[in-house]
Amino acid sequence: MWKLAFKNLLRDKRRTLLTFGILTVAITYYIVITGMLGGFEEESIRNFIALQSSHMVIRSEDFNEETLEGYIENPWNIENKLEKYPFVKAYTERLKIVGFLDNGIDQYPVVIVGIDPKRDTTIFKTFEYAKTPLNEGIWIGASIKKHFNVEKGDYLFLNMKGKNGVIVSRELEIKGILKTPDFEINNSHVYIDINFLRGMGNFKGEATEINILTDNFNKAEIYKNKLISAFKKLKIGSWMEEGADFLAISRTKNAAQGVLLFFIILIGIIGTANTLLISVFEKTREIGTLKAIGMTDGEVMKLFLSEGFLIGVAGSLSGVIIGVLINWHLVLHGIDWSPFMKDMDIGYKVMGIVKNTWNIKSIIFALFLGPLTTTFASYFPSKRAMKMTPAECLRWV
Amino acid sequence: MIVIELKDIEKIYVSGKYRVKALRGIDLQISKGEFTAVVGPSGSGKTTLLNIMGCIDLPTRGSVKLHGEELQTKKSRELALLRRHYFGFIFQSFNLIPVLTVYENVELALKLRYKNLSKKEREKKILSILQAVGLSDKRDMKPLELSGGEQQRVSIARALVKDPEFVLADEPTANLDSETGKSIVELMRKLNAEKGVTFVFSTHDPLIVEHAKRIIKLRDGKIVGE
Repeated sequence: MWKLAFKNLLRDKRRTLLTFGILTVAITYYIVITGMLGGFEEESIRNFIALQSSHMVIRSEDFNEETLEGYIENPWNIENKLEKYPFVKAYTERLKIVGFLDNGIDQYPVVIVGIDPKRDTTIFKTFEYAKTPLNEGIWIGASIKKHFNVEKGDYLFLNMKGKNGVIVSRELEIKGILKTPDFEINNSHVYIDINFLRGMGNFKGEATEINILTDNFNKAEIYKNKLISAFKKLKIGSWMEEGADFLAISRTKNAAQGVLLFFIILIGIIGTANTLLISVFEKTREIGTLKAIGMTDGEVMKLFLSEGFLIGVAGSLSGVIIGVLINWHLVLHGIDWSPFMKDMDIGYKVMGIVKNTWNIKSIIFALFLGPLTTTFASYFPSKRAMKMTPAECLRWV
Repeated sequence: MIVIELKDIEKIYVSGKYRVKALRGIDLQISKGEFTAVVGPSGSGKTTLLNIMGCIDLPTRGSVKLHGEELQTKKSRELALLRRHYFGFIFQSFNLIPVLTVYENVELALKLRYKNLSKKEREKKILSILQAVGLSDKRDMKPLELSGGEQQRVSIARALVKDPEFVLADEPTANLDSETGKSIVELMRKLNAEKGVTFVFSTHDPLIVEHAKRIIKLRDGKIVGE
């Protein structure tokens, strides 16, 4: 049976190759795209942690996400307590205030982020993008630079409401331009020395948040629960909670790719069914002969299902091999997306070269996907062959 | 001993609005060891009659019995198993599987009939039948590499390898030259005599008919003489 199925496939090599090719391309695509999406998500998470959330964030209980109001009065008290936890590798405090920049003509709303330049670099990699120390100046996002048409060394007015409600304004030198993978930072963030900011706004030792780096970001939720019991009057969030919105968007994108994958599988099914249907038409007299020599309808069906299964196995294997090889290359070297993305926000926090990841589940799934798809696709032509009586098949011209 | 019994067989083919009566009230009995020719012009119902005898088709009306067992009520799978065990078929256009070699074509029928035969036993049986039809040296050739006569010999080997009780041959010599056709009928005659296999074959070739022990004449779906 298998021998006959195999030889039948070799009968019309071009047609078999076409089906095999469709499957190979579909499965290769599936493996590479899954690896690519995995790479985008992983890189986005990495950048989100390294630029915005850290592994965990401690905030005041009355912190308001809209206005950024609600301050931790004595952050060093909390920081001293954090020292006791072995999983805490580093921490820093940030003071975030809503404000605006202006150049005397135009205004631009911003989030002012006060950072401790020394400690901040142990957790965040903002400095890697700014390249120049803050001193008494500011780093601004790349879109802000574009808006004001300013360069490093130029000056802008930073305006905000101080602690006592008075609007304060200071002309500050632009020390660095932040073109990061995080569009939120590029579009709206201004960085400044935390102590300078405190002085400017009459904040004493206050901070909006304490950012924590742990020994394992995957355990952030476990560590968070450990801290919750010790810091009862504070809000503690893991990076997963901080990035809930962007993670949800990322998952939606993955689901959209799933729809695309569904259509690819559908094309595979239609292609295989079509190939086998033509094959059934062409071999109708042979089917009659097989039935005449005593093959049951079930055995005839099995023969065609075997043909579909064999194409599927071959397509899956070659698709997986090619897909793994391409993915391997992309895991090592990645793709430089800069020419495609430019300043476009695609929802992922990525920039430049993004390396693929390995998704073992999808590779195993792909191995089964081909045979399952083609065996399913060959069911319909097989059923047609099964339904015809031997006499009808033998009369077929 | 009567092995196949047909009573008042009628077969109507329906194609759209058209109804074609291929057989009209056939009564026929075939006994064990017969070497019977069904003769008649094209369209007289020879193929339909052979198909009904060999469980390839069922009549529209009437009764077909194999060893006294009614076939009309049998399911498709049961009919397939009857064909597998009792019948060997030889077709006018040979109907060999083109992707299989001579050996594999014969082996396919044998494997269906005897599932538990070892590879060695299978080989012995196939080589013996190929020798009987004079094709020992062509075992690894594909059907399209053979002449018409050789292909029909493969078809005979495929029919006989499974030790059938009946061989039904539908115009086995129609696509062959007269010399080859004659040799094929002689081979069938020899196998009938040596192995006691019942042969029923349709033909309108008078040279072949003279070899038959019994001749059934068909015209317009009716038996018009014996």
